[in-house]
Amino acid sequence: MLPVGLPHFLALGALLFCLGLLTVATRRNAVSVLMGIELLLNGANVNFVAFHRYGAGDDSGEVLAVFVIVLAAAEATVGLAIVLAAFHTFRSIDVRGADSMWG
Amino acid sequence: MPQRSPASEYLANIQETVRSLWQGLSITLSHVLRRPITTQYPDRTERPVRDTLPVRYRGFLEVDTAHCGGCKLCERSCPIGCIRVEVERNAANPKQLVISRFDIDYARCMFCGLCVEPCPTGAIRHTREFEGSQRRVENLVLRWADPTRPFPAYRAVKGADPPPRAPSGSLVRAKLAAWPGTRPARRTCRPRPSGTSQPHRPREAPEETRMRRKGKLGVALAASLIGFLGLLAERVRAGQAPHASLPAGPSALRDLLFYGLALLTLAGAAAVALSRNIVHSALGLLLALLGTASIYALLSADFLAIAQVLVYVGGVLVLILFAVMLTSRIAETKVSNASLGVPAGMALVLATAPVLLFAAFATPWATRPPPAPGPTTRAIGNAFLTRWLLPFEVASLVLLATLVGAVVVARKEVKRDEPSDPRS
Repeated sequence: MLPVGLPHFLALGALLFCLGLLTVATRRNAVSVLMGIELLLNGANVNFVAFHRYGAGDDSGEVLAVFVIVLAAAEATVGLAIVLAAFHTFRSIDVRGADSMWG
Repeated sequence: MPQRSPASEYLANIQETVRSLWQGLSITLSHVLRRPITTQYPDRTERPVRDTLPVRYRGFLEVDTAHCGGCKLCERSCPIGCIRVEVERNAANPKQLVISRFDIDYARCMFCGLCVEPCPTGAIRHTREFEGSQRRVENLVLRWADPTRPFPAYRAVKGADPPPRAPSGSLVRAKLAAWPGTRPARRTCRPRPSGTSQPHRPREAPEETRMRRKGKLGVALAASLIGFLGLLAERVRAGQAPHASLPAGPSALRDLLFYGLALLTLAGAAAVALSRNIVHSALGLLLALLGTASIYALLSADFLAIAQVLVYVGGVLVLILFAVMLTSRIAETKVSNASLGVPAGMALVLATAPVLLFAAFATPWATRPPPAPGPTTRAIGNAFLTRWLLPFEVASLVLLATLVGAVVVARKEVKRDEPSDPRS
């Protein structure tokens, strides 16, 4: 087995990303979709940190990861607020139900 | 009574506090390990509640139109007039009576049974059905006769057997199922495997598998927590600081740790993607986020690991759990976390994953030997205040906008010029 190095962390990030993609693509529940987005962001973040540790570039990987965490928190807050508002409007958080602008 | 010194009294107080705390908490803890005794109605009851009612229970009235002679005795006997029967002559065959209307208003019916007593043929009778909620009270009228296709009145024929009776409750159940806006008359506990001869078999097996699955999830969560804490502790012990420890070179222990943590992370992510219960999904997300934090720690990103735990686990996950509790019927797993288009999603993932994995393993990355592990907080702080100053400020603006935006979006609108609706 290869000694654990950069590719292993990248692979972990890729698999996290894929599971997040699956969640976002298949879930009907809006909260679940948001959870999938968090998984996507985490997958990307693992890549940032791995490149920061192993990559030959400069040291901005961790800084970007912090930005991603900040924006993920902001996204989750606004997203969940929207989910609550949608729940009040449609009485459901099924993402297929929110189609009142669909001509 | 001997005078106690203040110090011993103080210590005695502390001891008393700890003992009473333990007494209270031990009761709570003992309940953590017990099975819940609440039964969720109506999904999780072992058999339909109507089957547990007495045989002569006076539930919804039902009319067997094959036996109704159109005598209107029930209409006349009803003390509140909730039955309405109209009988006409058949236009094609004037000798035959047809019943063009037989309405029962279940909103007014008081289930007294006075209409059942005089019925000469037993056409109208009580059932054990009682579940029929409606949004509008006008919808609580069941029409047993179709005005466009009236049914003929029953006449006893000498020497012939009366038509067979439908099983009690089957007619009204069919009507209730077709009721506008009702849920299907009953979603039973769970589909039983066909061919089992004991219909009332206690549901030991599924319950146990569920408990076992919960146990597994709990074990995984605990393992991830222990792994994370152990990682931190190991670092503290080895290097006197949480950051200077794990050997930088390849080592079997480090590899093992990576694979274990990666497995936990992916298990959590898989629970998010595939679990049927949204609470299990949220717990899986917790596992994935903790696992990611441990991976950060493994990568010597101490600040990020802590930030991940604080922001994600402490903030985002709690928000998500709140949203779950506020919005979905979480007891109904089918409702709470349904999926659609799973084959398409799987195809998408199966198209994406190999590409990403191939890129990860086949690209000759320009790597350098990892720098000696050290505290990263200073470097991050420097970067924020020099090179990344503008994005840093923009991020703070974004957070402010998020704060305001979330409040505006989630707030319920208060209309001051209208009398407020007490129900809202």
